[in-house]
Amino acid sequence: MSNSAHNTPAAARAASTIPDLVNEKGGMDDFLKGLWKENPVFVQVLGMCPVLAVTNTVTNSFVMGVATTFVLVMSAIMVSATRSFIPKQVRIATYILIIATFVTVADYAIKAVSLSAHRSLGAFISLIVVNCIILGRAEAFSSRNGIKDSVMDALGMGIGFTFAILMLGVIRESLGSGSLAGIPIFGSNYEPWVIMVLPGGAFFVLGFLLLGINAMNTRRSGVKN
Amino acid sequence: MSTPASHTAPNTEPKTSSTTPTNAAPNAPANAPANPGGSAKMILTLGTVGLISSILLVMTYNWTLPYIEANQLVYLEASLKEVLPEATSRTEWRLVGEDMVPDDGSFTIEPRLFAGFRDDGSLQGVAIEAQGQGYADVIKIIYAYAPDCACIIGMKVLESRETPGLGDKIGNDENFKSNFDELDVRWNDERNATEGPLELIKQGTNLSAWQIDGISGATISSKAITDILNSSNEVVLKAIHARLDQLRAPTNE
Repeated sequence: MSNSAHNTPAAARAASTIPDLVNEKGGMDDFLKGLWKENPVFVQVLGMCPVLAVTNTVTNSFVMGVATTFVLVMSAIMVSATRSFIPKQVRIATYILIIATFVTVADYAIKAVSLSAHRSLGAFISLIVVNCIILGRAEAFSSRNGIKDSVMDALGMGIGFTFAILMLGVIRESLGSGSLAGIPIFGSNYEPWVIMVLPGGAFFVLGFLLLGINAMNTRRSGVKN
Repeated sequence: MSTPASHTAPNTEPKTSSTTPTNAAPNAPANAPANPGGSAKMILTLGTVGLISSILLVMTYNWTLPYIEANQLVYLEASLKEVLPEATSRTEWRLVGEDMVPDDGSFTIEPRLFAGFRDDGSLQGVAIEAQGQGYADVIKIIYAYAPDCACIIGMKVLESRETPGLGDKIGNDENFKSNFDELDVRWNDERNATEGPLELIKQGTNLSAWQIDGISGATISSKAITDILNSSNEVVLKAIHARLDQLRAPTNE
């Protein structure tokens, strides 16, 4: 009862701006939509800071993807579990506190596993706190769904995000350094396309990927109609 | 006592907060959907979440600390191996002001120095941590100085944010690295000044023993390394030679 009183206005607001976010079909759909249909990078175009900044190597992309997925899932569990206790005036502050905690946990964990990965990601690990995918999912989904659905949603979004930045990482590293995860793939005669590992290359690659994906989606919906 | 009051009348907030909040507050507002707010509840929620967060963080910190320290040690030893390949044991020092003192663990930010010894106990060289401004952000390096030939015998970039593909060659370009195989920083007889500070020259021109062959396309980063070495040498070499006898002893006393 207190739950519905807390949810109604916010749910109505969200439903009017972002349709299709609260669906009734249960777990699997919540999981699958993040992979492609509502991919956080290619469709929602959220969290552009890490997408542009750390995709210069495959390793960086992978570590960033895994860390973000971890934070997404853990904060989804916490937000969903506490959603009926948290006064709505302080919900954003609470979510940020929860997210920041798990980001710090991820930060320590990365340091413990691989110091070199931590060095090459630098400040961008701490900046996961302000990645809007995480706060977005907490506010739009976990705060009004059960734990199981929230975990599925967070996992889907996290894997979708990891997939997207890995794609950028593979393209940028192979063209820009002639290697994949540090292993040379083109032989010694390859002259690296340096612009690809510079910030400008991130914009080019992301732009072309968005162009391709939008063209594909437009064509597909055109066929349907 | 405060529970019935708080969900009959909305203006009982002072009362709620004046009673022991740990017991009263979590239950009271849950029964009062008409009044979901109340600053006491907000403060309590944030306080509780903050408390749980800090407990979690302390646990994670304690749990990961040994692994992080082990990683840092592995990284340090790999770096030392690269600049002082023949050394099998070491003593640790810190540069305090213009003097070097044995590292007893009480220092935090002072640059570290490592005296590396060969199997037979002779000093191969001293590895020195140094840093300075690069093209983008601070560059941190470690380099090895051998008192016997008065030269630099190795240099490794520990941390840099130089431009990928251009400036970051200071860390991985073999030609540039070979500058530091035997780079002369010889002192005059009084051992109080370098013969000439290290000089950066254009790639391909003839090298003298104290000149560094720069990377074309990354002049600023090459210059940064040269400057870091020069400013560090100015202090460190004096300190090393003042304590050379002590340094040659394979243990800190």
